[in-house]
Amino acid sequence: MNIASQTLSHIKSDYKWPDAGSTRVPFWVYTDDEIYRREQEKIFGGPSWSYVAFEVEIPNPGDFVRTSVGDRPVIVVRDKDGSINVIANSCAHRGVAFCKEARGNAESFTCPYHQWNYDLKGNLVGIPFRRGYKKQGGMPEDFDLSQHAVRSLKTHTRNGVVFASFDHNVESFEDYLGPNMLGYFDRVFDGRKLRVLGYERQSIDCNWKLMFENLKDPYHASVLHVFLMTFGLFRMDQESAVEMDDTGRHSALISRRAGQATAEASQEMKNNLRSNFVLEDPNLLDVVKEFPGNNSVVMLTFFPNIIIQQQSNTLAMRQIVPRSPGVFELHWTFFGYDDDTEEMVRRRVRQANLMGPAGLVSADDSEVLAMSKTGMQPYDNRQAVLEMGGRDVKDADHMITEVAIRGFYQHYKKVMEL
Amino acid sequence: MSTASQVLLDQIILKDHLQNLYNDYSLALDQDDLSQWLTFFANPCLYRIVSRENHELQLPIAVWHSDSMGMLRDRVLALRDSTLYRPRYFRHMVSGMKIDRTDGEVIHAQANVLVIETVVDFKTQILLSGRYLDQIVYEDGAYKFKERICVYDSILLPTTLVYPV
Repeated sequence: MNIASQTLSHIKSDYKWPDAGSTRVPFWVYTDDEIYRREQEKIFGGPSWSYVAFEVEIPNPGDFVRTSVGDRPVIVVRDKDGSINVIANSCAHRGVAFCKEARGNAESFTCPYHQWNYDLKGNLVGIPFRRGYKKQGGMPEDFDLSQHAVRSLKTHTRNGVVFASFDHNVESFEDYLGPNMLGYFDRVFDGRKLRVLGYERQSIDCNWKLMFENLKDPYHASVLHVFLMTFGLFRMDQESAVEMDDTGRHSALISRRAGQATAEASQEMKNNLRSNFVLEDPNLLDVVKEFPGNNSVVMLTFFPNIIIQQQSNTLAMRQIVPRSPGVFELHWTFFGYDDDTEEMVRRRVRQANLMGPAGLVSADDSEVLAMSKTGMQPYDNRQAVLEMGGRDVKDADHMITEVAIRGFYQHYKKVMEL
Repeated sequence: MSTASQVLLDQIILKDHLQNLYNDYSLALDQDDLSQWLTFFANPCLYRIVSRENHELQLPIAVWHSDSMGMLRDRVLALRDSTLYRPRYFRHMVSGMKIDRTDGEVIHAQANVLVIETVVDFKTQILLSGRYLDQIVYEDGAYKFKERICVYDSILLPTTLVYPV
């Protein structure tokens, strides 16, 4: 090992957070393999609730969908009694991801490698040649099937949305969100039956946390997203707020739609505001009010893996699936309600043009995130500066702030023991 | 000429017209000529890029959905003036064009499509592979797409899909 690489590994093995607390984020949290491994264990494998599915995706006994909690593959399955189980898609025998269909209906799960068979709770119920053949081979006499179930997760369903946790001692979902965030959750998931409108998936060359932070950062929305600004969908001069739970890990970006930008706002945004851009077909933004109150946009980020998007009439779950320090996947599930009119469905489909891998707004983010990786990775002894809106972690009644990112890192440092 | 020969000749001529449409469409995109690209659509028109997953499950969401000429033009304008993206080049490989049937004035056809993307500074990659499902009409002296739906096979798209395909 040469001197240069010794120095580098020394810096990394210390993992010392900068003195300025959550106003600074060391770049190694975005690039380091050991940090990534620790995140999978302490965050995604720890006492947190991860979004996994909608109930309507698995309406009947035996219905299942495959998904992930962190980077670990799991199966969400409706049991025979109607309850929902979440089990690891990893055979207790040799680890094969035995379920290969994205969705379907099953009586039980059988690993194709050695035919180990599991019931819908993940209990091991059968092994071929357990007693051997002609008194040869077979499992030892004391081999206990009940000790070899696939790992099962704790699950919780609220108003049709299914969450799971690897830690069975995790606090209740309601306590985990706290009353304010729970209120925003219930605003969109108000008990009405949901309707899945479609899926989109993209792989982004960047650390997963930068995606989560992107939806805790209203500051960028007022400068990067020309399309949002130009059409008043999310802009600094609108009535807005950033709210968090007590820990700072969850947040809500809230905005009310405004008309023309004020003179002062226009001056600040002048590089990117296109005042002469008029839609030839305004049906793209034919927005109707559908939720109580005056908020037109509420973007929720619930630690650790889910972004709940309500931008005008486009609703989506954006599930973050980390793959490595430098790559994550974003799985979008667009939805509406079972009682939506055909006109409302058409409206949601049109407005979905704002979002996803080809989104008029979201493409900006995906590209900037990939550019972040290019600029961050080789400079991993540097740190990000987060002082917009002050240095504290308190709710704000405006959007010129990075407070929700500071809140996130305040919690992250604690969980990661950094 | 016999009637059978005439029918065959008409089919060959039609196929040649459509092949030119497909070639010119790909060329316009490969040359980043989006105003030319718009001329290959009839008015009204429907243009969608949709995953095979949504298509097979008959779910309405598409990564790109334009159901009018105005929406297509708006997207082109946004691409030129408002979207942030790293510079990139494309090559469209379109093969196996097949005319399925003719329904009055509407010709139903399909073809394989492979789009290869080179983001400047990065290795060339496959953006998507899939199938065009098309409805073509003769309008203003040319064959144009009344409907073009690109159904792509992969579940995952790499980072962004900022350009039409």
